[in-house]
Amino acid sequence: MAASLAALTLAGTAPALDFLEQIEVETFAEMREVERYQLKVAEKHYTKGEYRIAMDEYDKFLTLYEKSPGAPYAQLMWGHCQARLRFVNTAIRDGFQSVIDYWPDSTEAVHASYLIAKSYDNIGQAEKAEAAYLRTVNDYSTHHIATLAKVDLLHLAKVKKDEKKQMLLLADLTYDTERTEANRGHVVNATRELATRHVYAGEYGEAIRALETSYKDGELVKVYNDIAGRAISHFLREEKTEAKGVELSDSVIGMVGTLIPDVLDDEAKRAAARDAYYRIAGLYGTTARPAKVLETYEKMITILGEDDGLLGTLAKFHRGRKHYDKARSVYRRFKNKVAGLLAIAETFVEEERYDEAIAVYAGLEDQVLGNGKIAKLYQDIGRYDEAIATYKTLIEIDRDNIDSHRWQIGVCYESSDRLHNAIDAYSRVDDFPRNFLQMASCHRRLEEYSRALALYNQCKVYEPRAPEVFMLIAKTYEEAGQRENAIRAYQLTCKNYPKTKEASQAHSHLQSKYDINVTLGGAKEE
Amino acid sequence: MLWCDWSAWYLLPTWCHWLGFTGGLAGAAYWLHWPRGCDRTLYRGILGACVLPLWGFLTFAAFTLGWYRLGKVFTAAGLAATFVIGLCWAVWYVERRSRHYESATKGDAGEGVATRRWNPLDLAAWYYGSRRKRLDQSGLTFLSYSLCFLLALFLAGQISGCREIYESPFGGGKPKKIQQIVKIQQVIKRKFIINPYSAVVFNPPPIHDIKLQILEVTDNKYRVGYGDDPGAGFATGTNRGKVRFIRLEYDGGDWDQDLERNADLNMLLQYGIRTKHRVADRNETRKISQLANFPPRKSPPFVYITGQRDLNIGKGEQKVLREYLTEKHGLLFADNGGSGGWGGQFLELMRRVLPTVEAKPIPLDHPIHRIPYEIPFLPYVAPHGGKDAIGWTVEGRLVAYYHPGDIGDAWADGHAGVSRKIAEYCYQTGTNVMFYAHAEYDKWLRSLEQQEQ
Repeated sequence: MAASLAALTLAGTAPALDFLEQIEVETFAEMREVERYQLKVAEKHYTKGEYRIAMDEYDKFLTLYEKSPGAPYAQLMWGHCQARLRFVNTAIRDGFQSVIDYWPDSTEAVHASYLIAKSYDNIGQAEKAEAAYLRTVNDYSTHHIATLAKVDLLHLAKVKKDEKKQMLLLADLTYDTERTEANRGHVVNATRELATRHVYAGEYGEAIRALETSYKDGELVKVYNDIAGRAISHFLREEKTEAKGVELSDSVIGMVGTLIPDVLDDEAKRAAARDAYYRIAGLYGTTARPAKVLETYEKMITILGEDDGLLGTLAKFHRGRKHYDKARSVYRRFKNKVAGLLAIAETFVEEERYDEAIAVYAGLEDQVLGNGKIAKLYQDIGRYDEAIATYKTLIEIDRDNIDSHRWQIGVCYESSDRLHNAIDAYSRVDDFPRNFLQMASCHRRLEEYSRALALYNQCKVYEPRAPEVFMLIAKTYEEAGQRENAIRAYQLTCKNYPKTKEASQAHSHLQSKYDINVTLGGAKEE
Repeated sequence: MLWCDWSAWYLLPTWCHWLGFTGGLAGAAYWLHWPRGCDRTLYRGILGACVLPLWGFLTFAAFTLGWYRLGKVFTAAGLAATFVIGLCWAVWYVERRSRHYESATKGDAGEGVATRRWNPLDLAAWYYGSRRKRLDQSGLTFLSYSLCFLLALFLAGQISGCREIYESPFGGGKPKKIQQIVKIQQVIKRKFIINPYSAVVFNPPPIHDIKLQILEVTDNKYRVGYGDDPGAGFATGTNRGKVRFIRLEYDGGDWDQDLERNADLNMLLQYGIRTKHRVADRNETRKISQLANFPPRKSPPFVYITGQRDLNIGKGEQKVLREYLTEKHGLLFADNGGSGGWGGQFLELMRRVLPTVEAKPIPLDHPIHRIPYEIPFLPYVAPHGGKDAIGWTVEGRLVAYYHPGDIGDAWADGHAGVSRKIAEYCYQTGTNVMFYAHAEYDKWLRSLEQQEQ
């Protein structure tokens, strides 16, 4: 009963808490109800980001229930609170180290050992962090935390550009670290990284040996293909390594070829063959052999039969080479006719044959989709009157998205400098404060500053965008030539919203444009 | 020489500069009066030469008095005037020589065989051709003079000074928090003594019922510093040593932001008041390359850099900065003066200067935020690049401290309109950074001394 309760409690808070911030289910089960309640209170504040209150609550727990099995956890969380409040040295000294000193056999002591190292790392004390990570690895070599420490040691070695240490750590993680469910992700990443380094160094056998520790058979070939693909691109960049790239590519193609089953009698085998063919085509593409790519696609279609995915890839290959007619002929073979027509229209747009594209869109059965595409295309190519007419048609036939179409009409009017019409269109949209801000922007372009200011002043009530609105008010005053009011508005931005990026911009602007140092901002006590 | 010392060598004290430049000005005035009635050309020459001491005095005075913008105007105007005066003299000389050769050629006409002439002062030089000779000669004169002027300017810009020395003030103290103490002052109120034998009967106030007025007085009861020697300072300092505030100059942006508003000077003075260390009379500026002029054990423990526009620092300067931070044990105090862009450029610069060190937020309980003042939160004027101070640590020591929120604005006159509390915290943060840099420098020097012993 107690264990399930603990699991429930943990389930409720788990998403907000990191692995190193969670209490063990067994420990939670051993605790008394009052103790659990006190921990839950503290945890509630912690997850809300109220670290000072949470810290006091954990402190209270330690005072009241010093002998509780949850005490090391409370001490650890007290340390976490200190770290979150940016008192990292205090967290190390009085929080994490205390867990190790007072409860050396607890699970929390293991976490604390790692957290000490991590905290040093977080404040840039690389030497202390390295020593602490090594201590963790030595003290808890079989624990998952040792893997985390090794991964962080690897990061430190990368920062210091210590190649030798990096290779040692990668080899340790790949060959010497026992694989568990918890550390699998880290170890596999290290394996891939080691294999990548071997491939770049031309040690292909070593790379495969490293990958064999984590992958088997077909999976191994695929991962090797992924790693080698990047290396091939790298080799092909320079003339002297080009041959090396092509050679590697051919060897990988040979390996991938073994993944194609001889008999394709079920869906799994067909999927495996498809994946292998795609990989082979990709490798041919990387080594700039388009004839081979085309040959591979055609072979795929012959063996696996036509489907939209395969045809789409083939058509994309033609489009990439600007063979639009060939691409269109492939798209016409699509089973999904709508998708095929949309793709054909896109090829016309790429060729700037807009009328033909529009004709294809107009031929679509779904009028909302067709008109939507037509309107968007007209808008993109600057034929605003036709776009507006199409959006008006859409308003009639697609009542669900009426606000979106009205907005687009406003955008078309604005883009074609018919600002009064644009204001009218935006005013019909039910989307405060976005529409008011856009209307005000049009009024500013029309030099109707008082109207713009009236609209902005209404938008100020919308708290999330208030700093931005204050800045816009200031800019409007500036455009209107009302220097004093502009300065005042910039200063108000700094004063009212000192922590925002708008305060930063207003402050800089006051200094650079008006040579005013008194901006009235400043941090607030936190 | 005086000019070189003031701008690059820094060997003479300020009063010597004042004396020298004022003397130069007086000399120029005397010189202007002396040759009246003499040759007009000589007088004009003197007039032209007098521009130099005047230019020197005005520029020196403007910069020394903290009028940096005016100083820049004088610098540019003086440069332009020097160029124009020099050009006039060059034209005069070429014209004179040209006439001389012309008259000589006329005298020789028909006497000898025509030879190819190379002298550019001679209008008959072959490369001037047969048409527009004078125009070609003028063009050549202008071009040659401009090139010479630019070359001279370039060479003058290369003067980076010889050797410069920075010394901390001698003394001692402990690196610990400033404590507040309360002094209780007994204030005896004026009271009436009633004659108890008087016929009038009433309740007299008890004689010892004296109300105490408690005045809270904050006093810095201890010496801030590092070492066991008397007075506030540092054990490896010298009696003539002073804490100085050096700002770095760089190309591309507004390195001199808030300099005219006395940001650096205010901070320096506040540091002196708060720590009782001897401080310099004025703040200073140096080019990054000039940091190389400081010898390893006598270099500034910290330098300050700020701005909000472009930060163009070349590879040579990056090398000097790297050497200063790692080998000379310095600290770079950077302050984002007004844009995320500057912050990004600074972080990129540090990636190039210290490629094997990661930038990390500095915790609030780091000694730099605790000694001598405990900073409860990072104060800023505007959050131009986050709300955390960022640091680069090498061998356990902070070598660079980046403040994201224009702390220099709060030090400047007017304090950017921030509350008094925030301005005070900004001064405290500045004091802490300066003290940290000096204390770490002192520790390093002492460890070197111990190693040598």
